[in-house]
Amino acid sequence: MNIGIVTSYVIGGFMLISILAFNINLNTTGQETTISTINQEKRDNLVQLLSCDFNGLGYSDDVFNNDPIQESEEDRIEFRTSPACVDSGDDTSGELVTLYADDTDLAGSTTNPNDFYLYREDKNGTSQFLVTYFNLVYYRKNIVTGDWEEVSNPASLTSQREIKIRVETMIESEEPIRISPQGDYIYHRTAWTREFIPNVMNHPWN
Amino acid sequence: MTDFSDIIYLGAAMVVFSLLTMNTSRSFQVTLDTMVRSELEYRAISAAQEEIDAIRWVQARYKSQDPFDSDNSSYYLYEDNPIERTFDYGASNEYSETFTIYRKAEVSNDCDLLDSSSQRCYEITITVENNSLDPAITVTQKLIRTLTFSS
Repeated sequence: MNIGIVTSYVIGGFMLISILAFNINLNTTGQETTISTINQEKRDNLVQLLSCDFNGLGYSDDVFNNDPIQESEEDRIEFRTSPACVDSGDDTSGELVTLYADDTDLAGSTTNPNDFYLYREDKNGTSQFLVTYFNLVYYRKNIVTGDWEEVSNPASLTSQREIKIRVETMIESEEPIRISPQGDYIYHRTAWTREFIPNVMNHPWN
Repeated sequence: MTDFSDIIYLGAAMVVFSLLTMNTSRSFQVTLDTMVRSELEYRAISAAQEEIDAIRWVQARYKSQDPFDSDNSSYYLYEDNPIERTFDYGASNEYSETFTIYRKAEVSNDCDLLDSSSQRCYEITITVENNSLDPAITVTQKLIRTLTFSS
């Protein structure tokens, strides 16, 4: 057997394996980047909507008689917000918006087993967003100490003033970005949190 | 002679292939770096917005105590400066990020005050910094606030 031909086969084989590995790596990384970008885009859209809703919380032409928050739980809130946040919104006493999620009601329409829906309801209907975590924490300012203290249900308060809300959410990609060596699916994850101190509810009234 | 030219061709092909591989890997590394930075920037912006929110309605106590007057440490709002804030993220707070927040209030002359004898205008600058990456992530937001005092 010609030693030259054998050597050529060996070197050519290595080259082919390298090209194949490179191609697989290229595809995997490309897919990972695309899925991650889509997921960050989803987060941007949701955060934009939530920011508008919570910044406008309490909007009303009669803030003394209209309670800004109608219902408040850790995964549900119904409140008045600026008409600017609702398509064709024109209610001067504030547009009612409800945000709610149920982490036991899993979406099932994606390959991600943690996905569930966050619903946003306004007068135009209900829209839904895939999330893997959604939580609301409410605080009220202690007038005496000046400190913010956690309250469980600000909707039940007689005077809904000096209130801030922390919104926490986490979004995972609908498809896995890679498979771990143990065979687990790895999803891209983006987590976000922000405290909102709504203008109307914290305006110095005195 | 033919054997030698084959080896040269093969060597050249391997060099070109290596260059291609390295360039592609570098390009993906840059993309990944940008994505991680954008995620951190996003969180830093939220932290800055929280600070802005917190002072949006601050007013002069008793209509006399200026919260942005650095000469009066008893009620100067930014006496502790900078501050470090750690934010927890995730369903069981599995992630956390620490930001250094610089707060600054300077008297601004750009405001069109209704009554300059009883009003003072401030330009408040919030700078949020995170040193997890090199170079550090820095986000700056500004707010113009007018305070009214008893004349």
